[in-house]
Amino acid sequence: MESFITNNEVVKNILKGLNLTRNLYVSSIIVGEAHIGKRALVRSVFPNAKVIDGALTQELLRGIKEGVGELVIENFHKVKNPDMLHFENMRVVAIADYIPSMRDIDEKFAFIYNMPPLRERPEDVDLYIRYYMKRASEELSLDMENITIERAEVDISRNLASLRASVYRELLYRKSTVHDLQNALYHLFLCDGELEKGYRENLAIFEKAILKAGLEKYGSQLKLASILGINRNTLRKKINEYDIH
Amino acid sequence: MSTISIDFRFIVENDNTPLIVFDHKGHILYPNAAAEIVLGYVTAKELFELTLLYAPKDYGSKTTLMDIHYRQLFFYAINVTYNSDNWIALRLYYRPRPADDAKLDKNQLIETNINMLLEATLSMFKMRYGQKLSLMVDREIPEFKIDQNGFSRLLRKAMESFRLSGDVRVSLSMTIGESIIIDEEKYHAIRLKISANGRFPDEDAKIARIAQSMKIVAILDENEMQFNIPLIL
Repeated sequence: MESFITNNEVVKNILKGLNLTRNLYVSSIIVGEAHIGKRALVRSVFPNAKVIDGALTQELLRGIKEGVGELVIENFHKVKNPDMLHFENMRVVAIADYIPSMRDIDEKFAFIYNMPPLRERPEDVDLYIRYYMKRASEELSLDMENITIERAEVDISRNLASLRASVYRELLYRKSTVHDLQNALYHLFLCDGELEKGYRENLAIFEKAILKAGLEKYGSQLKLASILGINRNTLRKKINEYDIH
Repeated sequence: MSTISIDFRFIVENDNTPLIVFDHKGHILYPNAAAEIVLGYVTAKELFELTLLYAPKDYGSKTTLMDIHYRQLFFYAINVTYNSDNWIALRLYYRPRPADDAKLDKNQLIETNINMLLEATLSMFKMRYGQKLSLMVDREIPEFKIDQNGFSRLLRKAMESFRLSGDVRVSLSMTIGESIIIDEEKYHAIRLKISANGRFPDEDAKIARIAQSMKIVAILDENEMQFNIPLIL
């Protein structure tokens, strides 16, 4: 059984509530935005439950009729006619991205939990950055020494889905070798229209990156010009041209 | 016109609709038998104030539709009548109750540690509303049979009526000598009491309905809810 990780008090309480009722015949629902960890949380408490998608009405009705002891209903917001569902003497946990009808939820469920999105759980953002870094290091055999990814560097607009993608992307950026970058550019230039933008336009890919990193590293344009071995006026012109701050 | 003498007092005395006649100072001149029950739940002073508030401007009779309840007594209308300055009468009309024909299938009930259900519901309530709670539980209450989902729903809705109350007190205890009769069988009653300095009564009708379906006696007051639960072993 995979345990669910969180440092957020609200989510810890939901976990506690589910654990308290895990042996009782009650119905619970967890409501919250997509990709906030609802499914993983339920799976950690009910690893052997039968899982049915709420969009599949017939399968759902069959599952309830057959009296499966433990049932997880995913996408409860897609259930077409909740009035048809009767949960007597069943252990049911439903997951919904939103509440389609408060009346239905109120009538059907004894326990109603609202799980907050990631933007309201900064402590979990840090936790999941570390979690996905560890996973990436195992899956991709990457050495993570001296690598840190800050909260501000990841995208949580789509909760864990975008967080995971941005952690993996940031790691690729940090671990890429010159050879990797050359390969990436090679594939880019094979795409329709990229090469045809012209030599100078494509040179900007390199120039923008080197000037931005150089300014961040050395601070002054004078020093950077000396390091890169180019004229100070040329450097200033390029910085203005690429609108680098 | 018939000359038969009709004993109206006898009829009124045995009417199920509570009738109370006050003098001009609010002293009770006459309550019928049904009114005496009501007076066990509300003071004469409160009823007299209600009478004056809804009295017709002149001699006569006025009926006002209103939802009013004193603990578990629910009324849908009141009538105030007078044709003298010496007395004024109040009648309270009981709200019709749906026939309690819901059968409780005891075979469908599950043996339950009630403390577990209570703990789970209170934990959810604290998390959602951040209210201060105190809980007093009689640890001697044995496991008994109950509809776990129905009771948890009832408990959630009851607690939600205290969502903005400060310092909510919850207690669970065995009653002494009180029982609930289901299908002519007598069961000891367990009392769950929730109280605070006020609460929202907006869902009371629904709460009473859920309780009734589980043969739980619900007494819903302004600051307190009391549920007498049958101890089905």
